[in-house]
Amino acid sequence: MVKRKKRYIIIEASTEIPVEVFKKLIEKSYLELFGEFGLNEANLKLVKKINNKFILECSHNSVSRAILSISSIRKLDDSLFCLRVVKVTGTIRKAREIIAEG
Amino acid sequence: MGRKYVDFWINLTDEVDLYEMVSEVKKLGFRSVVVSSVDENRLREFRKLSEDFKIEVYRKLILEPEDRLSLLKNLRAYRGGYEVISVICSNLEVALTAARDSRVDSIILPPSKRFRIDKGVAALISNSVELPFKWFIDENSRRGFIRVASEVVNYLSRKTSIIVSSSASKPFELRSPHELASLLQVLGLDRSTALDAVSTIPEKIIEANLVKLSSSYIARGVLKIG
Repeated sequence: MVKRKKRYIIIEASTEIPVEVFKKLIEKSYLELFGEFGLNEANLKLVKKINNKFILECSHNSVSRAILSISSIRKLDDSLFCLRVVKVTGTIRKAREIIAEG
Repeated sequence: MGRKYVDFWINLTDEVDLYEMVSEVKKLGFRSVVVSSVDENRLREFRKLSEDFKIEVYRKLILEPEDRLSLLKNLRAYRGGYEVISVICSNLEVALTAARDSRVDSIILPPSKRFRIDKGVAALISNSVELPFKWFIDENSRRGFIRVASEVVNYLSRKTSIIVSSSASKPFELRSPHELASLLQVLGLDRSTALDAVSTIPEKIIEANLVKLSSSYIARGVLKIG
């Protein structure tokens, strides 16, 4: 079996939000833009949450799609809200290091 | 040396905290911004704040003319006063004129446009096409914007250069260079070309215009030395 390449996207939220809300937001946005097939292909998984920063795992072919769907989010319950892509890494260890560095 | 990222349009018309705006621009990694503002005092204040953050600020004029004559009249009147001039093309007549006028730096095709980008328009375009990301963030204009953006990428990307700007009027609407470039990547351009749309292409336009606005400029290709 061919191993699927993954990428880890470090995302910073403008306010601290629960994991469930984050997951819903990302999935809804991705679904709206790229549909069920796209979402399935991207294989989005939330790996870790540290304060208002999240590490999102996705397949390496879908990085630009994931970044676009993250940047399309601008509202949370009718209040202004945004998610910022801090960095994309190839390993989870590097992603953790970047978050630890601040 | 890394790329020098440029946000080609920040709109300062709304009453926002300028310090927050500048610090956000710096945090996102931009080294230059092009700002449109009605209020000269706010622009001056923004420029002063940007100096502390080592961000270069250039002035931009956005024109949205109804017809060809008003576009030409405005270009004649304002070209000398601004580093960048962009034209929002609300109809085909304006689009065809703006596309081939060398005084226009970029043309913006609104999501609600009622004309097609066909071979005729594509053959005439000599200026860059700008895609304001704000229309993508806004849910009301998103569908129209994606249609326009994919038309631009499919029909014009080989013919002319494309720029993606945030067109933000609030800090929340600002996006990082990689987020802006991801739009073009999703539409089929490679990563390097997509990043050029937020770095080298706008930078070249600004550089060329700064030369034109300098006192030593005489005509195209002719500069006064000494």
